Amino acid sequence: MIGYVILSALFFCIGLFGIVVRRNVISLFFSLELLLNSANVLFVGFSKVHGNLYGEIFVFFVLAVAAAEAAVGLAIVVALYRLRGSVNTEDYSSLRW
Amino acid sequence: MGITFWIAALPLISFLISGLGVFFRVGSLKRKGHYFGLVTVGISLLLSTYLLFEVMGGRVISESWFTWLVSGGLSASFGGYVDSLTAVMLFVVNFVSFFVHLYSIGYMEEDPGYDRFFAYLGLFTFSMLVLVLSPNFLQLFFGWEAVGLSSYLLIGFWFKRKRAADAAIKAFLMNRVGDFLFILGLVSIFWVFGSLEFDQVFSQVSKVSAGVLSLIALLLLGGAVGKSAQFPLHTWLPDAMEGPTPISALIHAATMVAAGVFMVARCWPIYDGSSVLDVVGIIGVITAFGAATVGLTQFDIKRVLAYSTLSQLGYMFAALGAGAYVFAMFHLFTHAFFKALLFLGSGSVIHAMDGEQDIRKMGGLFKYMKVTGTTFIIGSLALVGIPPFAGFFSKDKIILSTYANGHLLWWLFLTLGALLTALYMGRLIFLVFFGEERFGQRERKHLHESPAVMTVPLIILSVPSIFAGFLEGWFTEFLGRSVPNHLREVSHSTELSLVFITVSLALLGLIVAALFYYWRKLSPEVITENPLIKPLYTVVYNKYYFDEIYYYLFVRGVGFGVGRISAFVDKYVIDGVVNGVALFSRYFGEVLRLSQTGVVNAYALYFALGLVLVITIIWLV
Repeated sequence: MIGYVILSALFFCIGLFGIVVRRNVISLFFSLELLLNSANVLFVGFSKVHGNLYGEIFVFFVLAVAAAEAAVGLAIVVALYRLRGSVNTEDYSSLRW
Repeated sequence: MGITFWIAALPLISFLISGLGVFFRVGSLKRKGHYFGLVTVGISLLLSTYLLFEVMGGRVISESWFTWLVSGGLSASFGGYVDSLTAVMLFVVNFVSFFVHLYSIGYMEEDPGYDRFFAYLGLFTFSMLVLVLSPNFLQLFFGWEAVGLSSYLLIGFWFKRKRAADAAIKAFLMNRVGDFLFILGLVSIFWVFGSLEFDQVFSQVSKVSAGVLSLIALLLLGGAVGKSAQFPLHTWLPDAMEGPTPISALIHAATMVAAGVFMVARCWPIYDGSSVLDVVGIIGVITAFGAATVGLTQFDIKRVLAYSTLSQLGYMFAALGAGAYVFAMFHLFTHAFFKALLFLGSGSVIHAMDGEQDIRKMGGLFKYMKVTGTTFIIGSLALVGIPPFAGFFSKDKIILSTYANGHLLWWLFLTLGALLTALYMGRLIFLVFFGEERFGQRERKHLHESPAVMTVPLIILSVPSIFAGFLEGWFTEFLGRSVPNHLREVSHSTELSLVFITVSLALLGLIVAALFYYWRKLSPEVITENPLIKPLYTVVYNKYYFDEIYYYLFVRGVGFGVGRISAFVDKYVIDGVVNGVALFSRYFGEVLRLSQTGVVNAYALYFALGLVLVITIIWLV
């Protein structure tokens, strides 16, 4: 069981690392998906350990939400690109001190 | 809620009706204040007369009105306790108050604050009645403070005049000094005796050491000295003459200032058990003599009377100090009548002179105002102590008691004080009512005898001023039931010779006054301009510079010192803290805003770090 947890934590940390260091918005987006899916791994893993399907059902919900989120997120990215002509987060820093 | 409750509550009703009428500007209550005042105080007077007879029949009435609060061992209730001491005070307060109400109808006739005046009169009468009825120290203190408040309101009645407003504040502050000591006394009583009820405290007095009793007695005396305007807290009373004259008669002559004497007499077991009676007496003698000398030099008719009040209160304190509580109360009793009469008479004179109070600008008024003049002279003779007028009996008893109890020095000064009393009252009468007419055209046009509502109270008050002295035997027996009268026996011949000395000095004083101010055989300037006496005269004329000393010592000295410190603390400590908080927020913000980079990644990092922090804390705790 510890294996699922470690795998999930690994995915989460990679995702978090990606969010903090990557400047490309698309990459940020991928990292975000990675965070969501680290949770999914945990759901599936616990589902297997406990021998029921509750966790697996939840994964479908998460995937549905993630799909919706991806649609909205990508739309925002497209709009941002049209506005600024860039997908680099450093070019979106007009709300600063 | 018996009869005593209504005696006190009725004037309060008058205050509430008139006061609310003024406050809400009820048109139908306008200029009606005297109805409520006269009716309520009149009923109250009848009730207290009834009580006086009840108490004379041997009853002691003790009623509980309501419990105010209960907290631990302290139970504060309001009630009415009427023994002979209270019965006499109730009668005097209501009697004088009733006639002051009546008199004020005429005196305040043209005043725009007519109803406010009667409302305050009701409040004052209520406060004084609560004070004298009190069965415990807390109610006594309530009444004590309430009369202080009414006194403040009435001295500052014409608050648009700066001098009146100043005098009101001065009276209030001077009283506050005394009241502070008084409340310390109350706290010590509760601490030592565990109760504030008179009967419980007084029954335990013998179990308490003389030192503790002396401390309590001194603290209470502080309150009495403030309220009764004794040396060294006396300076407020002459200034209180800025109030309307009926107020001077009611509060600053007949009743409120007597509260200190009443309180000491009420607390006689404490004073008897302590060793401060000498202090009481010495304060009294200093005030009696010192104030009489100042009274001799003043030119304001009301100020002369004010100093005479100080002096007479000093006599009462001297009697208390000599242990002759009954004689102190007897002098209070007679003094209330003739001093109220004198003040009301002076009000009548001032009314006739269109507000002029300087006796140098009067003279020869007797033929214009015979009733005022006659009654004023009766009051003066009573004050001077010419037999058979009331003051003769009471003052003579005080002088006798100091002699009998071995205080020869007190006796000497009180006897000299009697001479001075005769001098300044003679001076006042001859300057105001006789001699040449020194007033101007304006006053002459205005000059008239006062209306009947003003002269009738004068006539009625002059009756007890003449005859109250004959009540001495009855009074001594009656009051003797409540307070003791420590008096060593003196032989009849000694007593007669003392009376002879006092009376002949009083007559001598009147004759000397007449020599100076009536026959004009001698000129007062010869004395006051004499190089030997002039410095002394200047000191006395300036009231021994008490006001100046207090001004430099307390107002300038302590006041400015405390002011400087307060200013420093306010400017650097209080403001420093406020400004410091603001500055800190500002500079901390300056630093903190650098973290707001606008880059999403940074925010994500903060978020992650915050999460780590929260988890760490949860994990650790």
